[in-house]
Amino acid sequence: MLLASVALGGGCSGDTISSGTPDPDASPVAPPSELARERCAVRVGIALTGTAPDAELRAAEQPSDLAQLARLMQTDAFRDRFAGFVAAELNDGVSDASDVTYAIVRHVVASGLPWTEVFRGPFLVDEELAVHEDAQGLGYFREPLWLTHYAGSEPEGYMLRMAYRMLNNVLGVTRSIQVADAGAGMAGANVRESDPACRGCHFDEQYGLDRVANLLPQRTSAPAVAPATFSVEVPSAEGEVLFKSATADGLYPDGVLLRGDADLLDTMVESPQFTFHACRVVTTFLYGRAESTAEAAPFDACLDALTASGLITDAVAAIASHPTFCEQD
Amino acid sequence: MRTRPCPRALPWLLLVVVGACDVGDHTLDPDAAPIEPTADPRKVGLGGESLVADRPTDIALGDERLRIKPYGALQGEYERVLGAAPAGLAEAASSFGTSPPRSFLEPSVESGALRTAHDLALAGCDAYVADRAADFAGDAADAAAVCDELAAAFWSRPMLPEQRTACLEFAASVVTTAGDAAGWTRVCAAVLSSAGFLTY
Repeated sequence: MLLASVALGGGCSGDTISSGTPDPDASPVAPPSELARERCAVRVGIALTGTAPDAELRAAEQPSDLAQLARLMQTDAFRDRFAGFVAAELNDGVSDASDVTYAIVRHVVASGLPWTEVFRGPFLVDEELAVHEDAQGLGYFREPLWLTHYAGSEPEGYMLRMAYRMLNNVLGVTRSIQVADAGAGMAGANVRESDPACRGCHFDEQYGLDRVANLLPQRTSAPAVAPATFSVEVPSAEGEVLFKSATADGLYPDGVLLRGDADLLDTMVESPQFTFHACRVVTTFLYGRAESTAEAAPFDACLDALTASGLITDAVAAIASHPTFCEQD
Repeated sequence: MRTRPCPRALPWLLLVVVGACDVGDHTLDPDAAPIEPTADPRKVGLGGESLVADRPTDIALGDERLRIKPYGALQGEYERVLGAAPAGLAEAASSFGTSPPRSFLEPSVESGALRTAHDLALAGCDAYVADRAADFAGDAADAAAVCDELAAAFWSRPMLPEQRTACLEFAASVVTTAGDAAGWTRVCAAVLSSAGFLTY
């Protein structure tokens, strides 16, 4: 019979996350049919590794259980696919900068380090994209290739492109240029602060770009010079009021005072917004899109797992092992 | 990549891959109520804003999940369902597109890839039908069983009623005699080059 060519087996109803806590919001799932298990093996295998499910995954009673997910996440295929995905998500195209991101993400995943290390770990990436410990490193944000790519063209050397990219990468902040001639980049900081058309995004709103850039290294070379050169000294001794508004529960009071890029990153990665954004990246990796309101349960499982362990692989496992990840009959 | 709901009727569904859609996933929890943004501190931004405000409210749990299989998965996927990858797959990378090294590109299917997928399916099904002559010994009157078994083998799911109707109509148009290997190969290729196989 035709069906003889289809190896059947496996399931897709993992019911716990790495913290060992069953999701109370998860709906009970009936035992999947053989076809559903085969579909689940295909979805899990391709979503995590980009390749067809191997024999072990297809033979597993539950293809999306934690043991299978852990096994797949130990493979080079997963590490390459996930690091490449994150590099593409966090950069503006394939470049030396995205290669640096790829290298550090892959290193953090392979080494079992907390996800925060991607953004503030003491790393240096060499020309072969090997990652080394270096106390001067700060995730990939002090890598010369990355700095050069996002040096920007602000006339006084403020790294506005870098500021935006950091906010986007760590917190998921997005901005679109609202002023027709903003791309010309010829307005100095005093103009951006005094011009109402600029002041909003650069100074007044949350995560004002100039407020962030004020904490970052400055470009000392002229705009559009390659390789760019930088000053490691921050433009001012300290920057104030990055996060202007108090949250309802008082997590961050007005007037947080920060000193330099490391202080900035410490504040950002300790925030709930960092964890939220990380889970949105993981959701997009696994779903091909961000989560909808109806998909809050697996997303919350991701938040719980990442908060508990700090490991991005646990975040991936939380969503992929959720009963809703695989298609049911 | 956001997928979209499948049209109600797709007469040429079996021949034309229209891209990822949500066949079958809708049975998960169709009555799931949207969850309102809350003051959950895990979903509050640094400035006190709701981080869930941009979530789509029109995607039910399980919907819009099918994605195009990447080229790198097709070798194993054809082997999984056919027993062997079709000749020509190794030269088809440019038709499907691949991610640059150390990066990621969500696969999409353009017209060239559709043609290539169908050509590959014909090549694969030629051997598949020949190796299973007993399963394809009937004429178009036996199409229902064949369509069902092809869907199970290639899609790992039953056909929806409109898909099954399209399969039967197509079989009636191309299978002219009992044991018409060429006709059954076209039916097989139509199923194998459809979204049911090319998505995950």
